[in-house]
Amino acid sequence: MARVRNTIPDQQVHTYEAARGSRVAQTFAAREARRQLPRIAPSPDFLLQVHPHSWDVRAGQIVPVARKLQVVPGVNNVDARRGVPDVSRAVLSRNERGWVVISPEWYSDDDGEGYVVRHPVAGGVAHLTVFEKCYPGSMRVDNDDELEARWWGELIKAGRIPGPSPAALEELRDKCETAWVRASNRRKTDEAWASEAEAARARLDVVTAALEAATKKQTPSKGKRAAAREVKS
Amino acid sequence: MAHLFADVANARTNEELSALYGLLLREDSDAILNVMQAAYVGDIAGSPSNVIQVTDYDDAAYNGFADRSEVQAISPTDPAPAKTDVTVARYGFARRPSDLVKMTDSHGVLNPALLAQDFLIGSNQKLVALIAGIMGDFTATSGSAAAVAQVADFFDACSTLRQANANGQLVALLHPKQWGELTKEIATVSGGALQLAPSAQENIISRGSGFQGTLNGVAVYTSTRVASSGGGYNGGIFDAAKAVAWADATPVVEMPERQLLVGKVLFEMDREPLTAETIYAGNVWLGVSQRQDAAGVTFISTT
Repeated sequence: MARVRNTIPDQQVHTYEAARGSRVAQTFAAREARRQLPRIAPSPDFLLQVHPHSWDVRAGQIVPVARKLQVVPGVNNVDARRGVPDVSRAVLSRNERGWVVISPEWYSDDDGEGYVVRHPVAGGVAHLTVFEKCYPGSMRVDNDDELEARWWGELIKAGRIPGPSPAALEELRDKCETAWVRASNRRKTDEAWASEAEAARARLDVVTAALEAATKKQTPSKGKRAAAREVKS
Repeated sequence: MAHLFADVANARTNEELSALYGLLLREDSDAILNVMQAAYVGDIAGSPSNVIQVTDYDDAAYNGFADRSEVQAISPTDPAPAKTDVTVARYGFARRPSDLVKMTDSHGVLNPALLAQDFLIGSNQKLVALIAGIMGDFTATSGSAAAVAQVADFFDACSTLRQANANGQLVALLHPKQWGELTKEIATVSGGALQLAPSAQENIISRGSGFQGTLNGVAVYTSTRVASSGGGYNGGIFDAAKAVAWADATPVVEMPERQLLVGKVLFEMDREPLTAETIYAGNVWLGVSQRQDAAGVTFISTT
């Protein structure tokens, strides 16, 4: 008796296997691709902005505390014209409040693409600065403080943004001093705070030195002497 | 529930369904805005512009009374108005499930009523995300990108706000990592001196899953939409009524047979017979602006 062969024509077998293999491969490829994406939340495009009263110490330098003005229509007066975000009113509004909005053109490197970098992430795109680093499969975002501090230094030197006023430095010194005192007190009972205390001390030293240099150039407000006749005894 | 079934056609046929849910759940941690009491400044419907201008007058009489002798004249004090513009823009969201997906929708989630509800919740979350995006815009700062979030910085921010006469309900909108660091410090360092009032389940239900509890009388919310900059998360602590203004628009319903106004979300349905798909689209118009700079503090800590 002839054996009945339960066969699939070669071509069909090939097609089936190929299709199956392809689908499996695609699934794994998609999964792998997703795994390679940074696990940070999507975030919109932005312009950096700084305020002359807002400073911090990073990488041993006094730098402005830069914030992100989100380029999202409807946020802080960003508008949309034919689907394209229009930031003119937003920039004007921020300028009125004392902020300096940093033009992307002020960041110049080889590609001339500005300071915003787009990173594909799960669920969309995250916009970070060129100084911020994110990693595949990780929620971590690091910042290259040295590179960024150097750039801010160049912008101050070029007169693009104002440097810290003595009053702003005094405010920063108070803040750093408080942080140092706090960390030092904790160190007394827990030596694990040693590095925090030392870092706080180093930050305080940077501000103190900058303040000493700036105070010499400071011109206090003269005011006007009150006339004695205004006060009756 | 919002955003849990994005890209339904793929999700339901994809073996990575659980992974997708896991990713999207991260978006579902925003608060319900109404409880945050941010100042609602109006609806642009009927106005000639998509910009609403709000004028805040200083508290003139608050500190204005000065001593005068019996017949000495009073000099009238002019109010010093400060204006805030809120620009309203459109946000949209749509789903396009196929008939096959709807037929095999054993959970029954793909019906217009639930989708409309989902769109409404999603629009609220969008508003919270927009507010989270301006937390870095306050001039005053507390904390540093060089250090983890510390309770002392949180208290400093509250003190700064009270000195600035921000006397209303203070609200904190922080990144979850910032809140995690604060609660860790409360639990391990403060030795019980600080009392955190964590949110009860009932509060989470009423205020949204982003509500975490109160610390020093400040209602704390978290959102992953809080931005980072310079190696630091820019959360915010603010007087809800004074620091943030938001506006919206009431859309025009022209075809009531297929348009529905859900809150202020214009929910629409359409049919694509050539591909056997139904389209559900939602549009909402929102705008958010910083109002009084002094009524908020940017709370910074390392990423």
